[in-house]
Amino acid sequence: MKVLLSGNEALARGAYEANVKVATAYPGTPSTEILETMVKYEEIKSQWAPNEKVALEVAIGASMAGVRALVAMKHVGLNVAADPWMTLSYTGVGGGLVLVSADDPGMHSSQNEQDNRYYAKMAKVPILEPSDSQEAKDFVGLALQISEEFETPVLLRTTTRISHSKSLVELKDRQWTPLKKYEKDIEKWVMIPAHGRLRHLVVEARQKDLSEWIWKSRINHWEIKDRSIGIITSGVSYQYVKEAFPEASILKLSIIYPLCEKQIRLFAGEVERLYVVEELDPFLEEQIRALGIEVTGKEIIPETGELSTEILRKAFSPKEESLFKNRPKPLAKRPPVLCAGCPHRASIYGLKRLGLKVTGDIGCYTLGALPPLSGMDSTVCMGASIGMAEGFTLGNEEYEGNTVAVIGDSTFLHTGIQGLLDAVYNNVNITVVILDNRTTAMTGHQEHPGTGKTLRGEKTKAVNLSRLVEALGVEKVTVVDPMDQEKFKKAVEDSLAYEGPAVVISRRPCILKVKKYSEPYQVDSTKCDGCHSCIQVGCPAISVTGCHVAINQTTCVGCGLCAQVCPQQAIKKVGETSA
Amino acid sequence: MPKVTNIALAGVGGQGIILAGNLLAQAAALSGYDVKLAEVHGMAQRGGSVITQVRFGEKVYSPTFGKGSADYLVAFERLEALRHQDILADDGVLLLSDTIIQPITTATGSAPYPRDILDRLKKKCPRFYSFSAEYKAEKLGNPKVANVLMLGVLSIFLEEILEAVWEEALELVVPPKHLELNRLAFAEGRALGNQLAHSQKVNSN
Ligand SMILES: Cc1ncc(C[n+]2csc(CCOP(=O)(O)OP(=O)(O)O)c2C)c(N)n1
Repeated sequence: MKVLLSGNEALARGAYEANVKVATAYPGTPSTEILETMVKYEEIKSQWAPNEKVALEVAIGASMAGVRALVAMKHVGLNVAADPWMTLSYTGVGGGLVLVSADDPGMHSSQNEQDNRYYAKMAKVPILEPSDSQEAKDFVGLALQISEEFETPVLLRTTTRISHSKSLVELKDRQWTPLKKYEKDIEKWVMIPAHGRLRHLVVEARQKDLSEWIWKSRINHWEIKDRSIGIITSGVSYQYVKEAFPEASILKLSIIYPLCEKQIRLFAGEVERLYVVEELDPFLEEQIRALGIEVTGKEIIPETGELSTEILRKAFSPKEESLFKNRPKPLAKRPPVLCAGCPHRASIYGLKRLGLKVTGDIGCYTLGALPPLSGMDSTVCMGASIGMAEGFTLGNEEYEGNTVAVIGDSTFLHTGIQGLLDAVYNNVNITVVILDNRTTAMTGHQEHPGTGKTLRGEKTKAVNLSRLVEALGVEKVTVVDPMDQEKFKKAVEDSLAYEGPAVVISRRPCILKVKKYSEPYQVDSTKCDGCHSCIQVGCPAISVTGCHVAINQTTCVGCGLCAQVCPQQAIKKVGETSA
Repeated sequence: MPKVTNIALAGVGGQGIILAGNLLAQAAALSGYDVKLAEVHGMAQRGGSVITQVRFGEKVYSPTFGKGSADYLVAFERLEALRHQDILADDGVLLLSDTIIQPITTATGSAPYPRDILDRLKKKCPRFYSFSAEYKAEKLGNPKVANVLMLGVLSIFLEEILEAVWEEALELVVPPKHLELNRLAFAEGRALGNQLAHSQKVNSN
């Protein structure tokens, strides 16, 4: 029987069927559901790591012990895990190891749209790219088989459209695979220069063996139809090509690196004009051109964003588009917002009131950078807020004493700790506000080392943030509830006045976990003078109605931040009489 | 190429569009069709504008479809209906669960919430039907089941998917403790859809 699975669910199923024993990840859209689904399979030891580097290292250890391992991350996660990744290529594996990299063309939920295929090329590691959920499932097993046969890690690359699209999948049972029993072998596992030199030779030879094997394996297939156009493609782009040009000849690559030269040459010889259709960078195109084969690609296919059937149709037969399109006025946008009652709103509003420079980080709170809160000056990558605050004050002394870094609890534990260590080590005068909402909210409320629960929902030790920060050498640590704006303000002011690095732990659980504080609030229109101060907190429950404001009684969760902000005391809890 | 049915579900993050999409895709799969569903998680769910696309037919390639190609657009909010209206084919059907959710841009007064949305939709889509689905869902016990109620309406149009199949799909997609209420909502939606189909026949006579 076939079942409807998302690409991510299919990847987890694939791991189950292919006898994976250890699976690790740090959450990140669009990869998160892989491990969230994996916990269903009790045979697999599945766990969250505090970051992607650790996740990969756990997988490497499992592989060294001889079992099959899977590690999953979003594209930028591989930047964090790049260090072990590059040398893992040299050591190779014991049991099969597959790294799932979920790329995000179009940046549905990411800070960039880097093309992670280059990571595999840089490491000289094969890439498999599925084009639907069935392939996502099957390619896990295939990747592990290749991994063991060629003693190499394998990159399984998905994109948002594969990870988050559902299609039908034929299931199989879990298969048995032999243990690759660990035997001490320091030339393989201890990468000192002398051993590394030897292993590099192995890596180069492996590349050659692989491209020959690809030819024989018939994993990549071609469909010769109309010979006037031949298209080389892979992943979801294959689906767009099939839909837009059902008559074209197609070489569908499933294993997209290394390229099998013979295959490319033969296909090119079968067709009159050769095209490459791929999302993002000209990864295949450049390599094909380097073979001396004439090919059209990025001249007509966009290099940014996602592709689609529509985009391909236009790319291949551009029509003269009229300059005057009579475009209607653009509609009001609907960007995502911090939820009603979100504690981050209180923290960010509190900082904004103080007129500070705020280096930001990544998480739900990044939404506080948008108007009307507009409470953040920067966001680069996870953990960057602390180092940047430091550099900002080092670069210009004027910013000392008025710069804070804000960082979420999960992000602090991911890659924030080292930044703080640096500030302590170099005695830089910055204040770090840890927005401790007790969860990884942005990606859908995953547990982390500070929540006291594992991926399986089992109880575990929760790291004590204040003690951790103190152990790093921070001497000024204050824990405060951001919903109490006066106390929050004082905590931040005191920390800024303090000589040396200081930390404010702004603690209040995510509203989506708490659901509701109290009865909703309402506006007393006889007192409201229309100053719109409350509008500036950017709560989705509050809206302008003529000169006054109104609070939506179903969306308000009763956090009361607006009441604290209102200079006229015109906002009161329902049922409370105004004094 | 054989016919593929394209359905878009559009609204605001948090309105249950993901569940509605899954229900539809599941019903199509149980009816023996090839199915693809494309949705987006993450940032978009924090009250942002969301769209889910479902396609079914003998063979489906792309998980997404473009402007002018939807057979049905089921919209869960006025402004989102207008925003995504151009995904409909010329003879496409627009089903609107008529409610207004102010986006932050209009709530703060930095952009207007258009007042003439219904008129504009009527002009652009000849086959436009709107319902107070949330109000009806609230009367059943919870405004949140407006999503399933709207699929009940849609189900009347999708004659290729049998009523019993929807039942089965509901069981697969909805958690057991909410099943009864969702069944009621679906039935209510079907009743609405039937009325509509009936009045159409009368009109065309
Ligand atoms: C290297 C890397 N891994 C993962 C992500 C995805 N991601 C963005 S923010 C975030 C964590 C957010 O948690 P937290 O810092 O606790 O903030 P919250 O969303 O709870 O406010 C994750 C996992 C990313 N952007 N970069």
